[in-house]
Amino acid sequence: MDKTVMTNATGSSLPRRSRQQQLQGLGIFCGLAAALWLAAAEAPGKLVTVSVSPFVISFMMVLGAFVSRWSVPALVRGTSDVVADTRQVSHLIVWGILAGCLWAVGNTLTIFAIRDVGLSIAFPLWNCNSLVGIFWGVVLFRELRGAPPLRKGAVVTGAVLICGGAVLLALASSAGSSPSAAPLRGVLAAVGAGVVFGSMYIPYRKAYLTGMNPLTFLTYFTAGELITMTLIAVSFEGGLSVFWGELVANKAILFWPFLGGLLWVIGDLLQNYAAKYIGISRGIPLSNTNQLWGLLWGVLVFGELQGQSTSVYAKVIGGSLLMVSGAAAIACSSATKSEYQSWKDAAQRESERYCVDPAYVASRMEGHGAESSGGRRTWVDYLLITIALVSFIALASVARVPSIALHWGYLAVLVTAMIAVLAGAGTALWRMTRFE
Amino acid sequence: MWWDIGSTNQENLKFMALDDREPEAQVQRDKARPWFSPILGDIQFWIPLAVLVGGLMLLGYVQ
Repeated sequence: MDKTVMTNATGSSLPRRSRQQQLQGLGIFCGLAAALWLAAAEAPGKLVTVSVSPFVISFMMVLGAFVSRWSVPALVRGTSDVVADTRQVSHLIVWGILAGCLWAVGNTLTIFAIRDVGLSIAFPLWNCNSLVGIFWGVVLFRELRGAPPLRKGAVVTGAVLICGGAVLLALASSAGSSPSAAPLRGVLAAVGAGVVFGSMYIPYRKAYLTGMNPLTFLTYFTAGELITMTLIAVSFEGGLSVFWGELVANKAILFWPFLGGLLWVIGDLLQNYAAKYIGISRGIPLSNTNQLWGLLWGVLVFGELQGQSTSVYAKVIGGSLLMVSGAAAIACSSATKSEYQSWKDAAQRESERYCVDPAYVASRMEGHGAESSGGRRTWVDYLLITIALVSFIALASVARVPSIALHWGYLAVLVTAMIAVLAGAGTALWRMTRFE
Repeated sequence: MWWDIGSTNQENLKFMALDDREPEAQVQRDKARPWFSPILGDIQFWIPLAVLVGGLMLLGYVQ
């Protein structure tokens, strides 16, 4: 073991290798926790039982994510920290906005893909985004370089297993549904969504190699997302007044996707921490296990797939096992010292290209440098938090609760699990990195 | 701690002088930081941008 001793932000001294291992463990936990929250983000959408334009649903979810960014995260770190972080790496604003734009386009493509070929074909195709992410991680950011062949193989095999599991789960999820007759267009949309989502991780990794805080990145990400989604929704719906009319006409259901945005932003934040500490080649496949949790929501809480054939249940069990084994393979293949050095080389390249203080990059990469954070909240933060809360209350007050039979016991179990993993991840992030 | 053991006033002064220089160096770095032109020469900017443009064109097609 490397005996080099370092002092972290909290003042304790740890051997460097031990610190890396701790951060790896933290990143893996964040990736798995992200899956739970990202899956839950889809659940409120199931409460929308009336026929509504998918652009309205998508727009409200993105708006919910944008507003929510100013609720929980603003409590964690004040706006002044975001400003200070931005000053250090101002060029990354471009990548944050770009990533948000990519998400909005990718998400809209998935809507068209489901419309044209159905979820069973569309989902596995766009779920290939983790393989695209691995490709970019290796090619652009030197991820997996210097890793022993066994670990490289484990990561790639794990990602393939997760994709395979997703195929089976998607086939089971869409049992009985009938896709429409535009196969080529639907397949193109699904593959396109996979490439767009997979390429969205380039800005993620770029930001975290340089040391930007995930909360800062998320600020620009949600802004890019909202701008692009608004433009897409307005242009596809036939103009601003038509789109506004759609929103007003469906005000009773707007709260549910808006709530989904809150759950999504927490999941995405955890995914960002995973990308920061274990890289995109490991973090993204882990968070892509959200399909497994999504199925649990569907089956346990909403009572889906009841009375299906044995083959459907076999697909569910097979797909779940494949996903779990894929996640386990990735979780057990943490980066070695030589691979970590390769990450540092990539970070140094960023530092030199954009004239960022190398000390800033090095300390942020190891989860240090948060001495300015924690408690510096101003009236601006409290104002933003109040606006966010009022938005939720206003939409909830006009929301209609659909008459769907929910299994409250399972709902309570899943919500408890979500809170537990969030509390665990939050505590670990605070103790080890001060949310850096 | 290392600064408690065997440190002299002279060493401490040297350390403080280094500390004083750091913010100034940072200010200079901030002033001189050209981040627009490096972005244009960065392949990691053009790849996601190209994918975004391609995604928008695809969106226009599937619509």
